[in-house]
Amino acid sequence: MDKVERVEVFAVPREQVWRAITQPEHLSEWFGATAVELELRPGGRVVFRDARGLVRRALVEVVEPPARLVFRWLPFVVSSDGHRWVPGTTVELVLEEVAGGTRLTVVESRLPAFHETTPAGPVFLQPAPPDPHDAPPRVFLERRR
Amino acid sequence: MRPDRSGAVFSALADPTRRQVVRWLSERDSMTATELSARLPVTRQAIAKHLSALEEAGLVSGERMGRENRYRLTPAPMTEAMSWMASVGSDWDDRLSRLRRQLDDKS
Repeated sequence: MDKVERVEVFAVPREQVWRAITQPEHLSEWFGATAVELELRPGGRVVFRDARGLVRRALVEVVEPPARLVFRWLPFVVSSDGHRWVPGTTVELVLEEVAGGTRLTVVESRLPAFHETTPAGPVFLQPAPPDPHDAPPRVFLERRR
Repeated sequence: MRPDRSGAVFSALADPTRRQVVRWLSERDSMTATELSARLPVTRQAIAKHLSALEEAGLVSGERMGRENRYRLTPAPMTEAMSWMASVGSDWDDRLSRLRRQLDDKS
């Protein structure tokens, strides 16, 4: 499993950190997105739009207020700069009360080189054709079923 | 890749500034310490030290061009998994420092 892990302690109550990571208007401020849509329930849709107009979609997997949020990035293809494949990953955010504030642990993980190790694998692992209309994530989902 | 090299690569990438350097180099053909220091909140001297650490780990190579070394990524020791970790890790470094500022402002 490929994994990136970060641990930070913030000198604010856990509820405040929870709001910052789950309320779209707070989330967009620090996430590097100009707009965020977030349905805060398992299976809920998440949409991040950035300043260049790129859209990244995710699905909420776990919501345990105010302690744990898990979402899964859907794989996507950047078509504007020529077809870059970005694999899907899972992001887990865990909030714990500690002396002096709240500890946030972020883990982003994916299956190692999933798309590379199976070049002739299932259809859903192959790059979709470039599409200027924000369709690739949906294409992946439909092929996957 | 040799396993001993992989340890050096991971420790070279443990530093947030070095991850930023790797990310900038991954988006360009080659850059000098001066060009990198213009884009990162550290001095040219500090960047030069980070570049030496990355060079020792075999992640970048420098070539004298005019007055300065130009550095480029050496893809050989950098597996796809490592570049994924450097890039995703660097994104989280940026996000978490913005989150820290945001929470500080409101508390």
